[in-house]
Amino acid sequence: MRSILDRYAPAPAYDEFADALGRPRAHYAALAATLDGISWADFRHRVTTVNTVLLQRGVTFTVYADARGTERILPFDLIPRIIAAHDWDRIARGVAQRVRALNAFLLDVYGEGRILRDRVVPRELVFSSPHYEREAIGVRPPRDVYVHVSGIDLIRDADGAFLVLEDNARTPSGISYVLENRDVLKRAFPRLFDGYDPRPVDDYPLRLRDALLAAAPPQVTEPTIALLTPGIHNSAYFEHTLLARRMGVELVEGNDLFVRDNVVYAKTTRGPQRIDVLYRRVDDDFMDPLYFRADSTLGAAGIFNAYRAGNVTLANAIGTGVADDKAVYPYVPAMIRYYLGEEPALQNVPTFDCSDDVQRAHVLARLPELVVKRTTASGGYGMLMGPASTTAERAAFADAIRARPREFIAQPVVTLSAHPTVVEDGLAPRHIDLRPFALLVGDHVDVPPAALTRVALREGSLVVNSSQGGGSKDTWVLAD
Amino acid sequence: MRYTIAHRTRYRYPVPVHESHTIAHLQPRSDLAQYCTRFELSVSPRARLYAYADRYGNDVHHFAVLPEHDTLEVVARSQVVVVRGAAAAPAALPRELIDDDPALDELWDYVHESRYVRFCEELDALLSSIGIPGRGDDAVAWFRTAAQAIHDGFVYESGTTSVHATVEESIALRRGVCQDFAHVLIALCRRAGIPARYVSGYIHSGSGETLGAEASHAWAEAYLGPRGWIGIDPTNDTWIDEQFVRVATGRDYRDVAPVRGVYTGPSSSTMSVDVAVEALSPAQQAHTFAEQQQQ
Repeated sequence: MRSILDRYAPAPAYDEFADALGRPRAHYAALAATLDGISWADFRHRVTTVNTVLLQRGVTFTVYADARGTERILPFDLIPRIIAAHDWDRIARGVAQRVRALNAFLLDVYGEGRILRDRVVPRELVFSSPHYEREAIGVRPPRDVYVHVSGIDLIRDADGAFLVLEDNARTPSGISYVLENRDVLKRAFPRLFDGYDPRPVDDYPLRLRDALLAAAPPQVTEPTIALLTPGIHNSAYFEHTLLARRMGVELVEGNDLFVRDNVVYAKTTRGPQRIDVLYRRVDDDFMDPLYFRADSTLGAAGIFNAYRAGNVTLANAIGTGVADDKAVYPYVPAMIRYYLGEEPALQNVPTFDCSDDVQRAHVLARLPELVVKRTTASGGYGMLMGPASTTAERAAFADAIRARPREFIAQPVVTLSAHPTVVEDGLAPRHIDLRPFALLVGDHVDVPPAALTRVALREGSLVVNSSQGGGSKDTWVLAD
Repeated sequence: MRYTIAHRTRYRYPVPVHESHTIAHLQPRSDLAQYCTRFELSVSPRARLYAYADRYGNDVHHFAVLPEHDTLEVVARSQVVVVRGAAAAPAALPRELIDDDPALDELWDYVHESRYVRFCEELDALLSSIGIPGRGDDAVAWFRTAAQAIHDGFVYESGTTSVHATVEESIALRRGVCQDFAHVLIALCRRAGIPARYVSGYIHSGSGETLGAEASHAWAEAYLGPRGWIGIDPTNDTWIDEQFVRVATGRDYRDVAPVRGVYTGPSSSTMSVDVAVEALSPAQQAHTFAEQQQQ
């Protein structure tokens, strides 16, 4: 019998599974033993079963750049990613620290602006951010919480060190894959869990609900939560329905809401229901046509008035996008030192700010070695992967950088860590990242052991975004 | 001077609309040079009024009318005492005193583009014909020259531009209303690196020649370092004096539109605006004062 591990050759990167000598790392040893006893034929059969189950469950996402607008399942890779307890401790500590700093930053830039006056973060970067929402200046959210939910994207460099690749402080998605992946893997392939007892992920919705309840306006005794979705055409609609159901809260769309006397109500079959906390998966621009985009029907007119009056919690708060602006990202370690007086537990990827003349010159001279990202884009769109780029692509980016330097940052290519992943004829290393989710509960940051591992399914690819051919893995956080 | 101001805005809808939400920047500001002694906002259909101070220190009101309605009327009545003197140019100011001003850093919004104040080639051409003030040049004189260039070179004509005319269109047409002139002057200042903001307010017409007196008026203020914010009216080519009442300031029209809102229903509507600014005679002023004393 041919084992599926037979032909696994570790990648020229930090291999999560195998050490430098090709032996399974300690926390993967039991999995390696299990895989050794599974035939390739049996394994392929499981892959087919799992994909059918996922499609039936409707775990799909829409690819926006795909003109067909078709729904596809996010490819799910059956080989779980395992995180040792000591690694998770460091991740959770670093993520919690970062989120506290980002929240303090938001409170500051929409309040006194100390960090700008002290020139720790350039005022120019904040004020030129398309997500610096001036209507939110001077408007304090209930309990001073801005970033109720965030997703901090981490990668592992060639030495195995965890680095922060980017922050997602608006409406990070992906938790539904975490919940579904675990559930599906347990049903379809219980044997893989032999020798493991990964920390559960299924209490995430309840922890999210706790965070939302804790953020309710202080004058409300029994807060009502609703989840606001842009609707079925949104790529994360499946996630919205799943979270609403698992939290036991109403799923609403803009048309279901109205604002009377500075209070937000949902129209229900039992009459208007007052909403105290709105977990909104709608972008700032679309939340209130009175103050933001006048043509939006995804929010409700007057919501911002209700928010300003302190009658509703918006999670996340209005204006958090300035904290996850890619041009602001290089300054997050400085924020951590400034607000918390601590050293960052997780380092940034070295980043060049193209709005700075010296750094821009450096970037333009080294485009073939660098990754260039648009500060306003996400999802892996609008990137230049220097080493894989053509002369024409580089020339186009160079022109764009010169024309609008504020809109670009550049980073050295970091070879993401690799992980055994199912390919055509067995297992092969593919690059992965990690998105832990963080919940801000008052002053405390809860980092549930429910993180999303994304995997770049194309050989050699370093872009893990689902919109760019990425897939996901079940992620096991070990208790000890 | 003491003024009573009535400002009525009326929207009519051919078919009933509902869920209208409205924001109003109608309450005159109280500052060192003017004081709003009385303000009353009435809305029909009746609605509960809410107020807040925005980030510019403007007193903003808002209200919602949820049931169906086919007209919406907003009437603001205010009394304002203005203690500004007659129009006079501030003392000369070398431009570098603006550049060196420690407050400049926090005025980022007033030296950059905003929704209706965009930089463009037409602006640069106009600016180069006026000249950019350099070190040692008098910023006060430059500001007046820039306002004069608009006053002398542009035709005041209502109906040529929409509410949302861009700086580019206004300069290309060399035409517009007070709002367009204010936006152009603000753009000139910002492009020259001098902070400038938009002022919405009223002007009292002492004579028949005053432009913009039948509606709400708009002009520009520049931050002239140690002289502070100084206002000039490019429409009437004058420094701001006791004939002017300031209502709200912001980056441009968008921040201070007297009345704006959204509603659910067909998009067509007609709007009419009436503004009356009356100066109380000294006798009336004494009378009013005595009356208030009795209350």
